[in-house]
Amino acid sequence: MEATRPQLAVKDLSKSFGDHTVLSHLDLHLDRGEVVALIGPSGGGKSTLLRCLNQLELPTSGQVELDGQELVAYRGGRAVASSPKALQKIRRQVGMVFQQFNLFANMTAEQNIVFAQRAALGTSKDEAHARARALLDRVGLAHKAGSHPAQLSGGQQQRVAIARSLALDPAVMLFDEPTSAIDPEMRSEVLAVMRELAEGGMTMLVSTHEMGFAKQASDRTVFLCDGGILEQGPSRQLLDEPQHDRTRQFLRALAEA
Amino acid sequence: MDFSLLPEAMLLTVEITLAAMGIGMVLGVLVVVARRSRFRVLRAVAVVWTDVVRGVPPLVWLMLVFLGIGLFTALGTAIIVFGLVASAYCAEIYRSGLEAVPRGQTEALAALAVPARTGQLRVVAPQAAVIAAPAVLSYAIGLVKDSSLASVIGVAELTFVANRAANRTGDGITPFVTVGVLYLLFSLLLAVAGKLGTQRLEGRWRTR
Repeated sequence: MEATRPQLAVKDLSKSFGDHTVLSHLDLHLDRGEVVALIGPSGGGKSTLLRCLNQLELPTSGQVELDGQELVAYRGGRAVASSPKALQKIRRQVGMVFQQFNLFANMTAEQNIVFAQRAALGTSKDEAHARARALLDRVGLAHKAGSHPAQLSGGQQQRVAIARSLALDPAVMLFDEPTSAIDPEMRSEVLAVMRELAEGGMTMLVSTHEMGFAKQASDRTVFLCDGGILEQGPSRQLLDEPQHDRTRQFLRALAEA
Repeated sequence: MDFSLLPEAMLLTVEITLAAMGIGMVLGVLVVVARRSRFRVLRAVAVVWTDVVRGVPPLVWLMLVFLGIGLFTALGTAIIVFGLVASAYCAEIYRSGLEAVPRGQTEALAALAVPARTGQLRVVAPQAAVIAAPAVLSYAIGLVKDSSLASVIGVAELTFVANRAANRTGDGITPFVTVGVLYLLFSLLLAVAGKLGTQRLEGRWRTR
């Protein structure tokens, strides 16, 4: 049983903001070590889906399971905020990388990573620093440890943000359009880090407009449109031979852009 | 005019300004914490405090506390009143500073499982402080001038001394020009010191 249980399961998930339905009865499973690319038009619910997984948003209905554990608590039919303790536990296991990086502006790259570990895990000072330096080295930024975010390029900031998220040793990593806010020529350095992470066996759900990354580094691509999954399949297959007109249209528009 | 009275008068002006500012900046933190509290009662108290304190002229507060309550010396009254008034204004300045910290910072804190209080203290508050610093400084400079109101209840600060000299000698120019210049100097000094302090606070992290 253990081997067949998905690491992350989204079950019949819906999310509305007032009258506006963003996600509608969505099902999605990620196996351990699987890398899934989430593509689709802006406003199609990619971001909202990711944010429901670590409870930056609460779903309207449906469930999210991590290793078989239900994450969303319901009371009287409505999703309710988990206790601070439960939330912390979820977020330690589910890392998130943002489009806008969101590094703490008042801390250096190294301090960002040290602070996250100490605040979230209670790591000792020495251990946190050692791990921060090792992670910065891993993303190729050991020489920028003492730089503040404002002194780093977008690509560098995003690599620090990935390192910071990895510092908590998450089981799953969510990426919310990680390269969209970065100059095109700086994107490859971020994508390279992500590719390495994927090859290292991390379970990843990546919302992206980078079809090259989707094709080469992800096992499966999911096309999300109008709040639902229109189609999904092995990345190469889906991107080369999409089955739906809407998917074809989206991919064509992206290629022309 | 008797210039020998000026140093002590100047000292009183400085004392009222700095002491009131100290009280206001510290108390302002408490007010803003109450304002952002989970508890509705605390939030209501903070709102009422800031609105009532700011809605009544400082001169009325001075008279009310000095003549009405009558528990404090004139100087004590001035420091307390200006300190309490400053707390309301500082709280509002802090609040807008806190609100100006980009939302992404809070989201990252949440996503990284950082306990809320730790995140507020170590990430949000320091950034809000830098954003709020210029407004706090300009309030302090305003207070230098507002402190002259203390003359009305008999604190022998700059304006009081000038007024008395003018009444005695019939010369209204020399005393008021003199204290005017002193107010100006003090304000400028505060502006320069504050600017340096702000830059220090800001450090490298907002430079591009």
